[in-house]
Amino acid sequence: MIKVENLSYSFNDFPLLENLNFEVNTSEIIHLKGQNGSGKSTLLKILSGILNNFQGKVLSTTKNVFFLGHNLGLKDSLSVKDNLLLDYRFNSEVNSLSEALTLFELNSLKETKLFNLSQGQRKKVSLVQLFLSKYDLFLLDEPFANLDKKGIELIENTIRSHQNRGASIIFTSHEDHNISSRELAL
Amino acid sequence: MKNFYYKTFQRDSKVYLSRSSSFLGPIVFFLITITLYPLAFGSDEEKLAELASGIIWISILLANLLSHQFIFNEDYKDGSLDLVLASGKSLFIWASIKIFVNWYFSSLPLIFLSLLTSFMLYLPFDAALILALTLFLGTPILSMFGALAGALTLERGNIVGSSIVIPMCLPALILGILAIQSYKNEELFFYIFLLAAFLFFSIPILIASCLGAIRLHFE
Repeated sequence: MIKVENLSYSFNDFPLLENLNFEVNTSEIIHLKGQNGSGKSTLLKILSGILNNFQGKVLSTTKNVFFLGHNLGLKDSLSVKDNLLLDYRFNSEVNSLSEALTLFELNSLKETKLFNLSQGQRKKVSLVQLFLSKYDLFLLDEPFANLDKKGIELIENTIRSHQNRGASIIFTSHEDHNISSRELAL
Repeated sequence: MKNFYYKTFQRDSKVYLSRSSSFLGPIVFFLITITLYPLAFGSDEEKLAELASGIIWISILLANLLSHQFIFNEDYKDGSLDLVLASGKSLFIWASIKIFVNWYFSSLPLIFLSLLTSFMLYLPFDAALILALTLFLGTPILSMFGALAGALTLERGNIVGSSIVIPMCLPALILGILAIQSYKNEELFFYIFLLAAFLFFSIPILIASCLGAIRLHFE
């Protein structure tokens, strides 16, 4: 699905990624590991097309990509429901939204504006989008950060269900997760 | 599934409506400024009528400065811009929609208000109609220059953006004022045509420049 050849990237003349080579196949879950500042988020941004001033080749067979970054792309002044429905990544039925909100324990907060929510609740809102969206490739930057144990299990199950559907997932995390097909260290 | 661009329009409109300061700020600023001019210059009808076009255009230009930081800055900070870049959709259309929504909420109310306030400044009715026409042609140019300044200064403050916008907006300001002042002459059509041409050529050039400026922050 994705083939990376001799990928290098420098930030302000500081080499962040050097000569990376790897492939991601269909239905694979890749866990990107590395220390802070090792370039995990940068690699995801390159794979998603956000950064394009790199050296080397990134060959992808799909343009149907879901990206979840450190900053969640949510609007503080909008309600939980509006944030989800007006997100261009929302490609599911509206009916399924209330089921997902119930599953993520956000149903009672659906009319609440984002600025009234905690960091963990905001994260859950963005993960509802992950739960509902049907994409071929998911690029997830720290999807488990700020989540409680139940939330982590929910996301692990969501990632597995996307894998069973035939999607590939690349995620970054500092903790170990037994859902990954393989790990890629930076 | 609703279209990406329609969702951008809907989302931005809701953000403006839910955050009243983003569109009420320029309106309040405009009204305060317009009210101050007669207090400063006195109630001499002829003098105010002579200065009215300049007063209204300058007040609108300054009021516009309050809103241009809203166009791209918030999307950059909250990660929405990352999602748009990752979507692979046309950034040109996306940026055009964002600028249009900004114009719709920040400038359009000011155009209607300027018609009302023009009578306060004793501007003749015919000149007031020309004022509205020049503002319909000119304020999108101000919004696009504002967007460009906002895109260039995503991580910096509003002052830097404002100091970039004002000199670039001067041609539109001058053409607008000249058109109103010559509302009885044939020269009017010349200035209106120039302003329309300025708008026509600004759209592709300024929006493409905005995208280039945004891209600079991702290198």
